[in-house]
Amino acid sequence: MLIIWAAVGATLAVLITPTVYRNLNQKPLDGLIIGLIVGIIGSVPGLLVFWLLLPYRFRQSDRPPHPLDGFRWRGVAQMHSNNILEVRDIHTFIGQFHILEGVSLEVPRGSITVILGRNGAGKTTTLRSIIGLNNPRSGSIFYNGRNITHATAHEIAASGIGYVPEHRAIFKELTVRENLEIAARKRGDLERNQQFIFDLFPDLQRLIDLPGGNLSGGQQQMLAIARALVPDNDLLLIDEPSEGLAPVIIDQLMAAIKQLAKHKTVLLVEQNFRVASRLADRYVIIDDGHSVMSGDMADLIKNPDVIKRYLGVA
Amino acid sequence: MQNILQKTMRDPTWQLISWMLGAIFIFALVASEFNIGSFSSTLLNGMLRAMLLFLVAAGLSLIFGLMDILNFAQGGYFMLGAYLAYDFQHPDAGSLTFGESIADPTLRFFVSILFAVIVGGVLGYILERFFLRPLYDRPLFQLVLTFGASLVFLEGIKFIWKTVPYTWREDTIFQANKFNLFGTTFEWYRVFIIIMGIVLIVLISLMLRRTRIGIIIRAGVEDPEMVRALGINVRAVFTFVFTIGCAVAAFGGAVAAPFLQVHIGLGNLYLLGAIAVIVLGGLGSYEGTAVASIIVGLAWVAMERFSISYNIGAVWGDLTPMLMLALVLLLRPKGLFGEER
Repeated sequence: MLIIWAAVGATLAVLITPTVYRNLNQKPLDGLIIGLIVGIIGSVPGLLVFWLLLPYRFRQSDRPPHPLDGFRWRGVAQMHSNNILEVRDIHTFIGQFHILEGVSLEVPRGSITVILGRNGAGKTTTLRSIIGLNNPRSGSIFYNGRNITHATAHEIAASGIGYVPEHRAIFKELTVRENLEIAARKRGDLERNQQFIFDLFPDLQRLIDLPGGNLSGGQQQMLAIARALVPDNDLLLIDEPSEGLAPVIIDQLMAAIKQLAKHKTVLLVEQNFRVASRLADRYVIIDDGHSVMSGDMADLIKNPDVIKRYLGVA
Repeated sequence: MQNILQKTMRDPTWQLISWMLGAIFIFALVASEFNIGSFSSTLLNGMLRAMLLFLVAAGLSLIFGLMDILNFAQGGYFMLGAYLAYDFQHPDAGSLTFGESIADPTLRFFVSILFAVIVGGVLGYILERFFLRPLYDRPLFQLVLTFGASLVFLEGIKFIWKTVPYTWREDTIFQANKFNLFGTTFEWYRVFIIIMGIVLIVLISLMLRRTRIGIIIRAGVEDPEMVRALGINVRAVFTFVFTIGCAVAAFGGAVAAPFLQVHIGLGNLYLLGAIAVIVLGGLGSYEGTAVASIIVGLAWVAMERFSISYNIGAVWGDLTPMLMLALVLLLRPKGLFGEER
């Protein structure tokens, strides 16, 4: 739309400017400004025609708007109706490095699914590919039935996916309150969900006016998870929540994640198998950029050979 | 309040700032040959220079902090603002005749400032939206592009207004009224600019602290990727900040036009000063930019006064920001409020 608008305006401006230039005592800037004003006014009919004829489907209101409207999606996926997320054979590059060489996974609605694997296997890149920070080059990702493979990070997040990155990535210069406020997507998000957040992480209420950088590691992790709970996300992607935390804090966090999983679906990356096995219902193992196994966590716990082979845990 | 003051004075950064300001005051006193009238004139002109530097540097700093782009065209927007305001105010000169429809020179002056701000903002929007945006993944190309844009500004200005410098002729109510301070006469206009600069520092600070867009900008300075992952369209925020930064620079040029000679070297002069300011203040730090503007502005004018009083050559004044920049890079590369980047 902007291109047509600009083209019409610019053409008229270019056509008119020389005439005005001659008539106005050779004042080129006057000529240019008048040309631009006339160009802008002249482009209004073009804009109207464009608005009336072309984008008819954008103005249809026979169905409620979906957050993913306007995405470059390639149609509705044939997803299992119980899955909130499906990743199909994605290949992701970082620079020239081929990091994911075929990862597939399914996340059932209401479950806690954990991605397991050794260091450098591609777990974090998988989460980053899903949230759109490293879009895959091939393969596809379906969220709630829509293809989000090539959507931008802000579009994907705004469609209802919360992301808690590795190393927390809270904003250290912002207060706890501001860290929560920035995550709100519409007016009233924080007010509506703050009681749930403070019930889950009571410490945050006490620390609300402190800068994020002054919090301890555990408190920062709580803040990072709380931030993803401010808008009404359906799916949370949580990367290594137990990393660098004391066992007592890990237990608190696990209890909180269990609690929030009653309301949300969680896809977790966790290297600590003890933590992962106690939290998750399902697992996916990624090894060297490939997804190699998936299934129920209860089955994996009974299979020490697989655990030792892929996770190095005895 | 007393607690905040005590805490601030215990902070090593603020102690360093107070030492620097103290040294500059003593230097200004020496430069003024201990004449109180001359000293007050140095301080007033120093504050004036500081506010103009701030108007260029504020945009430069916000844009760098958020987008990691050093916008070399920022000086061009300042210069364009000065030319547009001058031309609008003087219908008999330059290329614009619209101004003659407004008879009252003071009203015409306000309209000329508004005109410069709008044109600066629109050109800033165009530069970011259509030229810089496709180059977000290529930082070196962005640098070359903004440098190229500064050259386009320069050549465009030469084409429209030629290379002849313009001196403001028409007095508005601000320039016509003067006051006397320790035997030296000043225009009220200079005080007006200083007050306007301080108001702008406070307004931008409030915008950054109290509004949602301000919180997003501060968060974006820390970690733009995480802001995207929260569902915020960072590119729209980039466009907003770039447009505002350019409009503020054009505003600076417009308000400076009545007492600066409007010439084609104006952009580079203030761009270099502003670069010294943002490095001294700490790249991307808004508070740092505000404080460093005052330090560099005062030091710059004090050195100009010194070079006149002791006849050491006029070049030392304009060299001062660069000398300060070199000193900062040697002694405290992260600047006053900055973090290692």
